Amino acid sequence: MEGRFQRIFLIALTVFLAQGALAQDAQESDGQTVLDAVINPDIEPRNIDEDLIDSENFEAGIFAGVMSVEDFGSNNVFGVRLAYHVTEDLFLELASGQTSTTETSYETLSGGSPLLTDAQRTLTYYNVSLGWNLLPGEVYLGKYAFNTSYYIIGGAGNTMFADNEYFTYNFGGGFRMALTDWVAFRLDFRNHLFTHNILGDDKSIQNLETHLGLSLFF
Amino acid sequence: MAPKKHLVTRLWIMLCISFLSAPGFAKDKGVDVVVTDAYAEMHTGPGHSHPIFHVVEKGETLHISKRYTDWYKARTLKGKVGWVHRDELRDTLGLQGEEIVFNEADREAYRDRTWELGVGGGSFSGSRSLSTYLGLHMTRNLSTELRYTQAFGSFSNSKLLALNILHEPFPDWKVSPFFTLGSGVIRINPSSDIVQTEERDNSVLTVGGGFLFYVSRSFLFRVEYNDHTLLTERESNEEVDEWKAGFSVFF
Repeated sequence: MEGRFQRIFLIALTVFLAQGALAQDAQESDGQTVLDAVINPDIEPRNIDEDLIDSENFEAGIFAGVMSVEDFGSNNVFGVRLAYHVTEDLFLELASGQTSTTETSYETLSGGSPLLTDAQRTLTYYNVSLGWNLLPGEVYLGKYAFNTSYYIIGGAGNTMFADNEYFTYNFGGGFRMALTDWVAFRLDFRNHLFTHNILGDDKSIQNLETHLGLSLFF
Repeated sequence: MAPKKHLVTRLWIMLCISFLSAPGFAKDKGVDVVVTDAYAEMHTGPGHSHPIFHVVEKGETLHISKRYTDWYKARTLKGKVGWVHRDELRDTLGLQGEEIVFNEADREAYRDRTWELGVGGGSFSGSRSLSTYLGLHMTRNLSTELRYTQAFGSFSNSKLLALNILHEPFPDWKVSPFFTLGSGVIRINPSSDIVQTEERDNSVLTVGGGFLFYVSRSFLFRVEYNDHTLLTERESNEEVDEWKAGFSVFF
């Protein structure tokens, strides 16, 4: 194959030089040097449109898992995320999730009136985080190899709960396994920290979340 | 009930087929290049830590189909498929000997950036705030951005959605100053556990300025001050000071 390319190249070069030689007679009268006519290339350098190459820097996905909201039980959580991969190591992620919390143990045991209405019990959060792919690698399932990476991630955002909004930090880690170039499977562990005063005094709470997700790269 | 079930199954199958065939359409995309460096290393994955399993020789043709950050997925004529870093393809040529320029996120790309996405935090009239924006550069000096800010105060939370126009008089400077003019709406939500007051919506006019620092690759750092004037229905308008710092990426 390489030989064929050399041949094509040589033919192209010969034709090119021959043209130069022909042009030489015509151009000498114009006062141009012989050298110019030979060296000046006929082919205009052309920049290739990089849009022809699919870039896969954006990641969009859905996830589902369990979130434990302190005092309000562990419940299912569902959410969506959008990420932009800046370099092979760093990515920026926007995520939003929702969980329906259950009664506090006090409410259940005392049998008294509930603290919150059903609508107030829904906890919705969104956050912006920066992730760092710490341990990139591969896993082997049979004869197939899949690219993976362990990452740590942290950021800040907003939690809407009990008719109020709370500034929330989040940090955690996860594991990403690319099934193909455009589908990846993700497992995340996060801690969401915020301070509320639903139970009377200010209370800083830690809310642990773990979820499985599926992402598409585009 | 049975025909309905069939319909659902058929819909599922159709959905699966369209989902699976979606990347199929993208197959004819890509460019053919000829390696002119002495060699180019091919990794198994898009990262430096993935092992090198093949070396492409000078003069070999590669078909490049995909890109992930700084990595290009390439296929040789012999069918080897791997990922090559952009640095190794810097001097490649097209099949007809034409020059190929791979977009690289550098200072030049920073000057010609079109889209900018940023996040930041700071102080909004003394309370903690978070903000995110999407910017569109119309010329090298002028850009417009849609910005969402949320502030968390002890007595109230505020949400501000604004459309700003930015003027960068000296985009070539290493630390480039800019000026902002904007307008938007703010919703102020008093904390429910303090007093039962109505939430209120106000129009906002913004004047501000700040500095942009190009860090590296596609990162930039940005510090900013804004003076918001809340147009209230009361006798006097309210003024809100906002300081913030954050980082952005451009693409």
